[in-house]
Amino acid sequence: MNEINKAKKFYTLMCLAGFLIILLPVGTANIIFGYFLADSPCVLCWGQREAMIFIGVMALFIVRYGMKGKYLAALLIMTAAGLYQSFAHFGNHAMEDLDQGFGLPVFGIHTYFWAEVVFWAVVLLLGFIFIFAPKFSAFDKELNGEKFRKYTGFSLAAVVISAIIVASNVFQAFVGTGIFPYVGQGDPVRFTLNPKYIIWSTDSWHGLWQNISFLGKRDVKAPDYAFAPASDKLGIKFDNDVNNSPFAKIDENLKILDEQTINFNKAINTLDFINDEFVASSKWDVYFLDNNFTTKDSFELDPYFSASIDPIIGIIPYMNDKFILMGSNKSFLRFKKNPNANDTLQYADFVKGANHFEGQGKDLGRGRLSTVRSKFNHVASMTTDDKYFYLATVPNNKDAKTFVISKYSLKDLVLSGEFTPKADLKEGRTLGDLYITSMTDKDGKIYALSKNHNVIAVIDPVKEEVIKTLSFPNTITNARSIFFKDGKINILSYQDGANKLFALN
Amino acid sequence: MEFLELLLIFVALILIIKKPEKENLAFSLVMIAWLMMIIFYVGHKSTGLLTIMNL
Repeated sequence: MNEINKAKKFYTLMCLAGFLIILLPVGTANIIFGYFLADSPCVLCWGQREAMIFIGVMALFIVRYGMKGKYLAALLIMTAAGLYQSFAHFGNHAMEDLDQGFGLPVFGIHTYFWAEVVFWAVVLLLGFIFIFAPKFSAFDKELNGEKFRKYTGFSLAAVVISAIIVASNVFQAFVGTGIFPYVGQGDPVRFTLNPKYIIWSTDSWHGLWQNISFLGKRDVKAPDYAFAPASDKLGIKFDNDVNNSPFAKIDENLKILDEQTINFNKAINTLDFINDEFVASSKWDVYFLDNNFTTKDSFELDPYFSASIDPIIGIIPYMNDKFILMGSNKSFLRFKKNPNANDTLQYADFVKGANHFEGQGKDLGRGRLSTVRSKFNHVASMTTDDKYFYLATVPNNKDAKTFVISKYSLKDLVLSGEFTPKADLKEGRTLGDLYITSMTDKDGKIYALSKNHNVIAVIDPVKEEVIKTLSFPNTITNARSIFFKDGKINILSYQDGANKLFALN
Repeated sequence: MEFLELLLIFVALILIIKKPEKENLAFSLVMIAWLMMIIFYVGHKSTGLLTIMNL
């Protein structure tokens, strides 16, 4: 085909694309949704609708002034920005439940996701249009030295109709958002011409370009571990003074009966006494220890296989011969001992120990737990009463107040309940002032150990209430684990570079 | 804001139809409108630029 003719066909396709993006998504949203269904775009929807108009108008610039680098550059940048805009909008709704959303859905999809579809379609169609592009020199020849191209009947109709649709949007924006400095609203009321119900607002100016963050609520620093202190990053100043605890009164003051240093070359983050042996963990390492703390068996978890597991914050017994280990990100592994494990099959879960531990098999494997009230909180402790297991949140750099205990059935490992225990607190204080590093169950009561303020909250999970408070001496400076052994409370503390175990009464 | 931005685009469209020799003016109006829109939009999302989804 003659290169000049190819250039003309290219411009026709470009004109059609620019026209259709203004006519279909923008025209439908403006005329059918806006005037017939009284839908008003929110401030972000307006931005996406405008982005479509900008892309269409740039295509019409190319049709009028020829293929120029700056117009193509603008088209690509505007499309990339549009993709970000729609992502930034639907991302905030993506975690909602079935059929929840904002504004009108079309074929079950809300407008902010249709915008994502439209912007990807622009990329796709641009690619197809360029399949039919002539040699680039033909664009200059086709322009024939003129400063702009003459419209054909089709291209003139396309640009005029596009202008009418834009004008209609100008009108809708005037009615729905007002003149400068008024701006689109987060939750606009339905479209109306009755001045009584028209709202012009400047609310959306508030908070503009403030507290810049990529991850937003998710920009939560890792919890404080024995092997990785995080006081500075979390913005929490830990102290060992029980007088600073949030509780109005302390019921009992525990005394140290015995203290021993465990000869162990890693900072122990969790320690429990399960089935007559100690079970310890440090980051991704798990150790089974005898009464002299000599390692009998151990493994190193592969944290990034399948459901990634952040450092281990607790290990509980499960189904008689198995265990559940939990990461601070509420992802878990069900595992068991097997001296004759098939290391080929178990390679996936274990960096070391695949020949004597199993993570793959019946009632084993990984999974993730969901919460409702603590989606943006890590957990640092876990315990079980043989029917349920419990996780407790820790405060962080974004949220210093939340304290939620989540309860999961051991049958299906699904959330069964959540609560913030009732407690007798000092004025203005919350349970978020605690930093629960470990929990243990005794007689149906949860003993929650706070390394901050050296206090133990005894929680009744049925009443959802703190029924008793205990303090422990300030010589224990970094309490990491609590468990009962021989009827006594044992607290492990990683302090002064050593793992110290205290028995208290 | 949206009204002003859309009005600038509309004026640019009228220019390319009726006064095509005002190419630079028309393009500048579109770019000014786009910059206003994108600065406002991203500024509006500044507390969570990557949304609250798991990424």
